[in-house]
Amino acid sequence: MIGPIARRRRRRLGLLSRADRVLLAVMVVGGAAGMYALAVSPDSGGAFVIRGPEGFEEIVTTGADGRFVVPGPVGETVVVVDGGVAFVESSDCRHQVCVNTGQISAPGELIACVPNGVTIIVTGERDGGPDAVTR
Amino acid sequence: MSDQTPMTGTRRTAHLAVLLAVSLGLSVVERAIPMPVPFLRAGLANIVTVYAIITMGLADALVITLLRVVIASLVTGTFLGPTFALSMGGGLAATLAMGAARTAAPPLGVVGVSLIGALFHNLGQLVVVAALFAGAGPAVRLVPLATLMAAGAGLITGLIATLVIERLGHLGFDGAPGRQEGQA
Repeated sequence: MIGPIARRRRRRLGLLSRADRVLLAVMVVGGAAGMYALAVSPDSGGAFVIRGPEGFEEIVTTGADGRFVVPGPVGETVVVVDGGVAFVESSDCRHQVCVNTGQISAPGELIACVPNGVTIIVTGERDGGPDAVTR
Repeated sequence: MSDQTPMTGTRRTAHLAVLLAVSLGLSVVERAIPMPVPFLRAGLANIVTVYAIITMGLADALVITLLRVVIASLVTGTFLGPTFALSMGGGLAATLAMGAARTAAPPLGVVGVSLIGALFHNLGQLVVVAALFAGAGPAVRLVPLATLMAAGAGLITGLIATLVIERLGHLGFDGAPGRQEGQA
């Protein structure tokens, strides 16, 4: 329940103006269209580039597997590349966003452990169709 | 919504202190809420930024944003780290964009300003990611998802900010010191 003061103020402010609704619709439609375009665009295989602090870098080509322990300011981030996908198995960061990101395999996909300064990026061209990406 | 009157002196300082404290509290609360999707945050602290933009103006909102990011990073031990860079990039981009939208796009209401802020918060963070971590390619791929997330977050924070302005306006927190509803 709101009082007469709040009612008058709501009439003056309005919850959503016409311009607000248009902006909201543009953002939703634009975002959804962009995600659809990315989803249907062809991917191709590439390599997993694992970077960490102090110049750590490992490039793992598609088809090669490995388990990499990347040291960083908050501890260790363990990256696993297996069967065409990469994921963070464990990390000493607090919020575990990198672990919860899950697996990546398509070129351009990214996992970042910001607190530990670790990134895993899938490289490769996106116009040649799938190469050896499996799940 | 053109009742923005500059506050000065002790009154302005007190308002800034209260809003800064609230925004810091909301930041802590939001960090404690588990979210099912990585990077998905409602941006509760942005409620205060939206409120400040609407009722106090860009300069005061910038002060609140800068102090919130710096103090929160000092408390959590991330000062000058990657998380700090992301927060600062997103916070500054959002506040400046909301200030510009408030001035240059009068048809936008509180929710519209909030939507602009949420969008530029996410885009600002992606620019930082592109510059410091991943390069432009991966960051660009995240723009559609960031836009969708901003639509939801901006709508929620904008609606809450609208209700807060409604409720607190008669206390003189809408930038019109001591003015009561109904007075000319």
